[in-house]
Amino acid sequence: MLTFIATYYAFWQPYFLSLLVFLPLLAAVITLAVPQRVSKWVALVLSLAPLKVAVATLFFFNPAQPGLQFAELHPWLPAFNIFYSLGADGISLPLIALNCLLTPLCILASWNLGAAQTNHESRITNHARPNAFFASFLALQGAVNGVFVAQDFILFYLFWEAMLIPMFLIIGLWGGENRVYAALKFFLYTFVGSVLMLIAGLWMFTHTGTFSLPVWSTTHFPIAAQSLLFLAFFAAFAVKVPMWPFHTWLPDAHVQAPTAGSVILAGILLKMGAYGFLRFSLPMFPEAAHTFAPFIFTLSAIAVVYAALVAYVQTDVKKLIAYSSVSHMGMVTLGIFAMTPESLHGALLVMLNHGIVSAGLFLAVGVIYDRLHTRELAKFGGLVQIMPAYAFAVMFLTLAAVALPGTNSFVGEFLALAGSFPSAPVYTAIATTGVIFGALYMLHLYRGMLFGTPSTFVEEHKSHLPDMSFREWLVFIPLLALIPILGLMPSLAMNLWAQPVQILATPPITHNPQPATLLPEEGQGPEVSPTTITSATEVPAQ
Amino acid sequence: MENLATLTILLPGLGALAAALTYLIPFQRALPFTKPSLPHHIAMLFTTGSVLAAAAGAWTIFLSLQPTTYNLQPFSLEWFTWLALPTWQVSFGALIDKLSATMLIVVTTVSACVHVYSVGYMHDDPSRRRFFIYLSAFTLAMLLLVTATNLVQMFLGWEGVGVCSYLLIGFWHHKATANAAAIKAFIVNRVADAAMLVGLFLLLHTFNSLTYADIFGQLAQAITNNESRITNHDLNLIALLIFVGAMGKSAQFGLHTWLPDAMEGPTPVSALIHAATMVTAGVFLLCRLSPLYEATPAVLHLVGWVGAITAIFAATVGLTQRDIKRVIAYSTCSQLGYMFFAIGVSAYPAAMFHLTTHAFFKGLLFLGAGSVIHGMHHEQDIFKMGALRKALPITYGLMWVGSLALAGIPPFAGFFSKDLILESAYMAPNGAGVPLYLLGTAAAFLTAVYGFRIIFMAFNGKFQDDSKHGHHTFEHAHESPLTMLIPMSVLGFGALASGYLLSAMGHLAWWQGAITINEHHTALEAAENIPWYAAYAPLLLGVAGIALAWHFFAVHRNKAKQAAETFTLAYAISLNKWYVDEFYNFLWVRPTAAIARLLSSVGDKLLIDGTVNGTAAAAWAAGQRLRTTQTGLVYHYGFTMLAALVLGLGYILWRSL
Repeated sequence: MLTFIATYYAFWQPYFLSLLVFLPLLAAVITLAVPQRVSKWVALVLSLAPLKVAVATLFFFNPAQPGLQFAELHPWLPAFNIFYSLGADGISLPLIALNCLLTPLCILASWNLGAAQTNHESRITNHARPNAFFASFLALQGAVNGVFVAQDFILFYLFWEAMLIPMFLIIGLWGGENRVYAALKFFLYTFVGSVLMLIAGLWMFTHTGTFSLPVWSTTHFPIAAQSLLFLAFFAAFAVKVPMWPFHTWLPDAHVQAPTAGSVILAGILLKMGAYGFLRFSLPMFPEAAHTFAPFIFTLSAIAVVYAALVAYVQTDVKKLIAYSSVSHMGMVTLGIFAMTPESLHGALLVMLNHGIVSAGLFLAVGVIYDRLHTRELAKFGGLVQIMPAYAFAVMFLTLAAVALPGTNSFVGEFLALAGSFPSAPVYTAIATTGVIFGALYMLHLYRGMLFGTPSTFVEEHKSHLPDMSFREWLVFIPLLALIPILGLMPSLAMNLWAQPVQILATPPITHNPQPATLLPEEGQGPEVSPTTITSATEVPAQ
Repeated sequence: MENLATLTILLPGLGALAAALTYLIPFQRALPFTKPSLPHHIAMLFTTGSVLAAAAGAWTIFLSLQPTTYNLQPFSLEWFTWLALPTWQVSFGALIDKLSATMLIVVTTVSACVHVYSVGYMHDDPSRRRFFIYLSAFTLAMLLLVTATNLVQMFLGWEGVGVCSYLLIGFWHHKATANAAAIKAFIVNRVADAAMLVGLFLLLHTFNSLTYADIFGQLAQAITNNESRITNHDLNLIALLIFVGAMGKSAQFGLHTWLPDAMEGPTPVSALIHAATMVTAGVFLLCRLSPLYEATPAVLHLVGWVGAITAIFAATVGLTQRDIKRVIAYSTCSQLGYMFFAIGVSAYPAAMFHLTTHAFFKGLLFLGAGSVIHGMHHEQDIFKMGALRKALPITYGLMWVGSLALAGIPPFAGFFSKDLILESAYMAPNGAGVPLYLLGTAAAFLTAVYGFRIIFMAFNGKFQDDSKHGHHTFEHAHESPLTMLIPMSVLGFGALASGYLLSAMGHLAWWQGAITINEHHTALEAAENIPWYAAYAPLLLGVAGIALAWHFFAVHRNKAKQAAETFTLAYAISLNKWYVDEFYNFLWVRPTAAIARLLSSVGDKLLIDGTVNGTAAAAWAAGQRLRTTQTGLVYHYGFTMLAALVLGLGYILWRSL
């Protein structure tokens, strides 16, 4: 039996990444086609398929082997040297796995979509089309997986932009009262950034004659061009992260998005920006990355403290958690640009952990929103006496959010800050005060929602406040389980990305192209003509 | 012995886990014939049993380490790797030496007493299962803290006890004051911890390791070889930042404000966490890091002064507080000050000795206070007590034991350890410790006064609350059950005899290398040669303090009131705790909230969103203007094209001319 399973997966192994991209897209189409009543069941069952593939990918991934794995390479538009080129390494795989885990949880969390709503406004919108809603999530999952596995710039850009459409729909169609403003703001903010990225990518094509990301990573771009290229990519990624002061789309998007939309937004979409920094900015423009590092440290340190303080005074629970995301992502950008092994490990861990914890927090807000249809902190209070099991789950998440040692967040933040310290002691010290303000807003939130005596609003709606249902526990248990597992055994994740981290942490002054480590395995590099390769490697001489 | 150590450390955690798992069993539905209290009793059994077993294990380890018995050598063990980086790594494990073994017995003994005591104290609380889980989880975190082989596991315990403290202070989470106190405790500690974290980062950067053995090895090497790799500046900064962390946890002046408020928690919590164990973690940490602090005399000097100031400050505040628990809380603060100023004169053994005796007598005092509160139906104001000695005779006797130990009267425990601290300070090289000695001796006098003020106000004289409710309370005042009195008696034995029995702790040799003292820092060795007048002064002042307390608070209570009215300003300063809270509200709390609101409204909404929406509005406006050109009339478009053509061609012609 076991051998059969192993052979089965070994057969599919060369297509894992394509499956990760196209299974969700196929699932989206199927979900659209089935009747409304069964769509959630169809979506849930189909969303388990990519999860299975993601687990298999993690299982078959060899962390000791440098470079990209599961590579796929097919000509797409040969005239322009554009390839359907996929590949994954230890940086992309955990994010893919997280994405594949969160999507079924989101579907499960949105189970009652279309059920009777007390709020008249939301009745009109939420009633509509659960199959389209679930299909959007599946499409989003496929596109985001595409971003993480694409190794050709045009393919990457395609997925990068394609992912905006389902998210735009999720916020714009199933969002709150001010959803259109939020959706447009989200779309335009990120779109402006990515247009600059496209221009930069086209310039890099004219320079190297290829869109292959592995080739770009080993190309030494002229110092003068690096700064402009860096800034162009920075625009795209900084908005996505989001870094201060490009963050104001995020609170609006979160507040207006439905619960599941917020979960994916915080859990996965924000990581795309950081992923971009790691995939593009650091390996392709190392000198520029060093030049701009102090600038990014400044923005990061501001983000950590500023966003935490702003979070503290929010009256809307979702907005509070949204700002906490900005604060945590500040630690990520700080860690990425400090470029030490510790800081990169830390940044990657914070990315993963924040994906787990903030997703859990948004789900927790969703549990209450489903029951009370409000997100106003002042209206809550004393819920612990009515929903003790829920209070336990939220306390668990709160402790993880304040980076208690033993939870996953601690190792990430500790390594990110400890690793950044040698590069930027003052900024790190400022960012470390984030642990104070982080505790401040989280404990303030917890007290406001759960402690104290039940507010009059809560008392009035007591009958609508059953404790966590079995379905809700199913949503929470995987996330709650990951918190101590990754907190005590972070090596489970750190081993995956140890190789790429080691390469990224190498000082760029002695820039030394290592084609063997970044090209797809078995020498299946993109078929660029010999002349372009030489011109690419000749560049440093200019 | 390795397995025993592992078991001892993890047992409280297993107990807590087992007790927590009872939440998964629907007792009322599955076992409808059982009493509703069954899950609570199961939880108590698991937690209390496991902590009692851990205490037995801890004493076995401690006694085995004594040269006179089994002569077990200090050892360390590794459970599993937590963080593995290319150049350094951190493992979970345990370091068993005299220092951690001492902490093991202190923590498990007091914890076991408090667990048993709580069975009685919390007997009618509907959530006592949760209470016991928190208590045991706290014990686990504390044990992980004291036995860590590296600073990261230490920090795990450090934050773990902080969270358990937060949860237990806010245990009665329906009370707004309890929630506020819990958050305050956590945040103030986080302020200190942030400083400590930066210290750890610098430490890691300097030594490329966070393991004690590595750091001390490199440090010793660097000092003997006079290496320039490790600069004094860095060392001082590391020592200072870690000390700030210790100040937070150990409630030293400046970062003490959370401790009195923490009395909102149930009294057994105050005894375990806020008197005997958690708050002493800072003292323990500095002793653990003695090789580092011995290399940074400037920081050590600061430690001494902070300790002495805390000792005298907290003693003055303790004089006038009305809440029985708050008086004892300030007393704890003051006694922790003594421990820090012992460290300041390099008398680490004296600090650890006092930590141990203090755990017993202060734990006893808190449990005694709890017994009074329990017997008085949750009355905590000593001005509404009096003449309770007949109703609570055993508690009365045990409170005497605890207070005599606190006041430093022989042969009670506090006498041995406190005198050693004061003597070391007096004999510190170059008289550097004499000011500390004077402050400490003055504090010793005040300690005796406020300590016996509690006893005489609560147990002697007349009952003070003349209201109907007060009379009712007095008539129903009762002695506590045996589950409470037995653990109190155990601690009472510790308060009586631990000073004498453990007096070997005061010598460096006893610590078998767990503590390092620079050979030039001779305060502790010289303490034996102290002149008689300096040696007896604290004792005489202690006796005088008790006599004064008797005069003012047992016999002539109105005189105390008169004194308060005469010295209005001094009384107000003491009663209002030197206005530190008010000062912090003015300096930090309100400005932080104001700045946060400003950042939210002005920074985000006005500036950033203003720019974003402004750009959008500008684009919209431009679009609106440009739209007017889209008239849909062919001759308009034709004319525009013609004009453009003419202008374009004209430009080319003009350029070519």
